[in-house]
Amino acid sequence: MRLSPWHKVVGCAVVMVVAASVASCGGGSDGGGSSTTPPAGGWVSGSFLPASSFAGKCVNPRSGTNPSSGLPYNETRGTATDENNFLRSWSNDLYLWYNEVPDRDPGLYPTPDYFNLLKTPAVTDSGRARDRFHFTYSTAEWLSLSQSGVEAGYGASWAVVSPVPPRRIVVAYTEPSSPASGVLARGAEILRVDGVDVVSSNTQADVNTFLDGLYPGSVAEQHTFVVRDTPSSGQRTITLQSVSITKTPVPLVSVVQTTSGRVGYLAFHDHILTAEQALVSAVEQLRTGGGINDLVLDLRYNGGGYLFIASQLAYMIAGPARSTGQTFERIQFNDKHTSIDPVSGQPLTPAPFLSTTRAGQPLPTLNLPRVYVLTGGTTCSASESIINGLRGVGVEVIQIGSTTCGKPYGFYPQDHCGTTYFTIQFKGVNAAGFGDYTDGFSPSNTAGARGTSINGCSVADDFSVALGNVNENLFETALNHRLGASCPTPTGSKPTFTKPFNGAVGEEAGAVVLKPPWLTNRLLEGL
Amino acid sequence: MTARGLIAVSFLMLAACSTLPEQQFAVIAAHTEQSRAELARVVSAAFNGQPVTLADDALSRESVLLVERSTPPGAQGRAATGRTLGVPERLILVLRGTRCFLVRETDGREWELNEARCVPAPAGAG
Repeated sequence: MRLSPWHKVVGCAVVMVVAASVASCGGGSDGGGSSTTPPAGGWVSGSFLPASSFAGKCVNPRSGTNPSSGLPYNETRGTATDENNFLRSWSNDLYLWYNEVPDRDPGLYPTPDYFNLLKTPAVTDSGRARDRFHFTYSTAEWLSLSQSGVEAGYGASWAVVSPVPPRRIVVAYTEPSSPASGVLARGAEILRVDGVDVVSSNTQADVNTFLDGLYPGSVAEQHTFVVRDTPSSGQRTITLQSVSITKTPVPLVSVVQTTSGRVGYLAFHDHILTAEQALVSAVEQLRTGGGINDLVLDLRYNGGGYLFIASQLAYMIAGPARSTGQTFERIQFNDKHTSIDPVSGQPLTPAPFLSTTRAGQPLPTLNLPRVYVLTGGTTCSASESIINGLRGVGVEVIQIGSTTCGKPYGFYPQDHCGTTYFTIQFKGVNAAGFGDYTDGFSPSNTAGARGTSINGCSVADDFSVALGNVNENLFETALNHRLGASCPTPTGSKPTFTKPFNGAVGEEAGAVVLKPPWLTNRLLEGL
Repeated sequence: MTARGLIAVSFLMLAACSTLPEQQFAVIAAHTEQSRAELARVVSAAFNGQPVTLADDALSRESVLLVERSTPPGAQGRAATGRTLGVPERLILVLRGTRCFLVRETDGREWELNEARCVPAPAGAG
């Protein structure tokens, strides 16, 4: 296509204005600063210098160019205590629950240990740690980029039904036109990887081997798998080679004609950038042929991503009458930062329901007063925002499946001395001011411990039937529920699913397998 | 069109206002090993040398390349990217005469591709 004359005119006029605006942007918090008394030679409990006092004082200072800024590193030789002091002041300034963190002497701990202590010890009503999202990455790893939706793999997403021996890992779904497509189907069980028994092995070396095979780190890796397609079938051996996989964030859209109207089904797996147009196309498809009376939105494997995509989808479901002028999500930092985002320097204004794409295209709408949402332990973060945002403007959400992960929180990653730190800095609340779903959202008949209760049915994931099939347990329950049927016996209380690099493990299983975090880290169960 | 899009187009047009030939959105007609390697180098350079993973058919069906943070390994990676407030980076492929350039949308900076064979983007591929 050719660039239009309109672009030429408007472009020449706008570029200077926007460039000036960008140049004027700035701000950000200096960190800490609740006291002006320097800790002369030592730690003074409750006294905090600004984090900038300690910034760039590193045990191992870096040189050269910082790839995230393009500027030279500005780091000098420091001590572990300097690094700890930076983290202490930074946390005191920005951590959401800063006033619950016990103040400890930064001179007494290695930096990784000290950071791990810079969080609230509080627990939720269910007994889980309130802060389950406190971690670090090497900055080099964190800075890596990818084309949207592209990663090395086979195109199979694995579900860890049981993370400990007798371990059970099955295929949740496959990407179209991928090495796994046509070779593995949903529900196929992985028995051996590169000769290692997945079901019963329990040594670190064996676990490392099968994880390396399941999650190739690069393209052109070849691994051998022994699989069983169904519980009653025999075993077979396959070899898969990793390639660059382009994920399909919206793989299934369909309409089911029922005796009480047309029901749309929409599977949405990832809030990645390519999802924007895919969701627009999906909603346009659902609107054809007279539209739909109800929507079943399948978020069971959606761990989140871009919040603006969550807002767009919520708008397309609710429509303008229910959402125009309403808040989709409002970000709240701690009580030191009530009006200005302390990192971006921008005013804290509520995020609206977005009615257009990023390119300005008006979004199609379904204008529904209610939505059925299929969930699992992987349903997390931006996916939970869809649920919470819709409930905030009075759209009825009916939940079928398992308790969601419970992550109304977010953070700005902070690089310091080569490590990128993640500490919870804000939470999102809906138009009604609600955002306290730390224990997740749970269908109302969930047995035992539950999160925020939502009308619906607790149903375990059903790997025996393809996604989108009306006989798949979650979808079938939703269809029956809208016809007035009561819920089946609750089965979906525990998180049971993971896909590559997600941490869906049972709560009680988190400490058993040692590597990597998605199989081990209790703080991340349910992702 | 977004403000960022206008910036990019503006830079393109400012360039076009000079003596340069007219330019069009483009796609890569047929990737080779050399063109893939060059594209990976250029995209990495556009982000100050940060490593980047691209699809084998990157920019061969549309002229806009969306680049975002990789989800690192582990559940922590998902947690880290589970509530992302920002907007993505976009790189746009344009054809100027017979020469092919990758333009960074945020500031209009451009890199020439010498190994790729670029053709005008089909309608709707921009």
